[in-house]
Amino acid sequence: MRISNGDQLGGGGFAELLQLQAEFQTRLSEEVLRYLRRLQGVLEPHAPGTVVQPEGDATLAGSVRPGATLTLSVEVENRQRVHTVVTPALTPLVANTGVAWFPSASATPSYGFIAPEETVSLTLSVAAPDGLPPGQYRGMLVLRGFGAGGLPVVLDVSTADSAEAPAEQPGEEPAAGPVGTPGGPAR
Amino acid sequence: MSTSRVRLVDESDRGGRTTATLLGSLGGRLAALHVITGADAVGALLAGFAALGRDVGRTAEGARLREALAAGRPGANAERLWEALMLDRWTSALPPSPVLDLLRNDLALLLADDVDETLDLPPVPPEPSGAAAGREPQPTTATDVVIGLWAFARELAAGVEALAGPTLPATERVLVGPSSPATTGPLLR
Repeated sequence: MRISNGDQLGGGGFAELLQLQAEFQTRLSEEVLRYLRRLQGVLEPHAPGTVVQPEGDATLAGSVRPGATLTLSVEVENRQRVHTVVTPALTPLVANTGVAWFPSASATPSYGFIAPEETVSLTLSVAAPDGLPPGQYRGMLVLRGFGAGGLPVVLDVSTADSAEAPAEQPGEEPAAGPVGTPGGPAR
Repeated sequence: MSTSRVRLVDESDRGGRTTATLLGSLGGRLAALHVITGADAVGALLAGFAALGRDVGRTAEGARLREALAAGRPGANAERLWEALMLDRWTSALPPSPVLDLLRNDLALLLADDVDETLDLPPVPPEPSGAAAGREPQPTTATDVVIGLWAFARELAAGVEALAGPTLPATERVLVGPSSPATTGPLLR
């Protein structure tokens, strides 16, 4: 009688059963490990965190011309009982025309401890590059580590021809205003 | 200038950030190290760096870094190694450690003015994480981990400099006399 470990007619049923058993055992051990790791994560000590609570409409809005710089400001009040850290960062801005703008932004301070009951003013300078297409750009100001959310940012970029009011030039006091009112009063 | 105002508050349904809870969290972490394997501890940290990298990758600066890494050989090699060594399977199965929160909490402990009083009190048992959002295992990539490590290192360096800032001596200084480190060092005894 010839015995072979290859695929043959007649021995397929038993081989299939063995394969199913092996797959079942592998899957079972993987699921058990995954469950134990999740359980371990649930029982792990919690790291007390921080939540950002905006006051009113926290949208940061402004208008800027290509080649100019815009300054956005956020006042951050620490209502916790210990120091906390704030590191602001800007997400890419996307225009309603489909243009994506990866802005060059510098925050002041870029890193800082805020004591309990202290309020710190963060400023974010956003430089609009020359040749940036006009449009309304939307993005987020992210306070890193405080969840997935952030403060909405809406910037109107207009060229000299289309702008009614002149936008600031680099080094001058920045002008900003609500959405749709370039150069208007700040919110 | 457009100005907004935000408040930083404690998480709801939690004990909040106090010196006692931060100390409890630190003590709990140290105690947990004795009951979990090194592989799980390191894997959870790597998963945490990957989660931080994903978070940072949403910013303009992080996206720029990610694009640069992905376009060159380092990014390709990192992903190849990550998969070949099955680091993706290992770290993707573990709940990510909240590495940034842990760092900030530990730095906040260094600035607390009631550490002595808190240490004298009975220890506060650490609160379990529970099924918190963001702790579910997520797929990890080498690029995420690299960006997360970069962000963590920047935060750590900035934090240490900020802690030392108020009492940092001038860069150039000359000390002469008994208080000089040069005359009190072991080599000149």
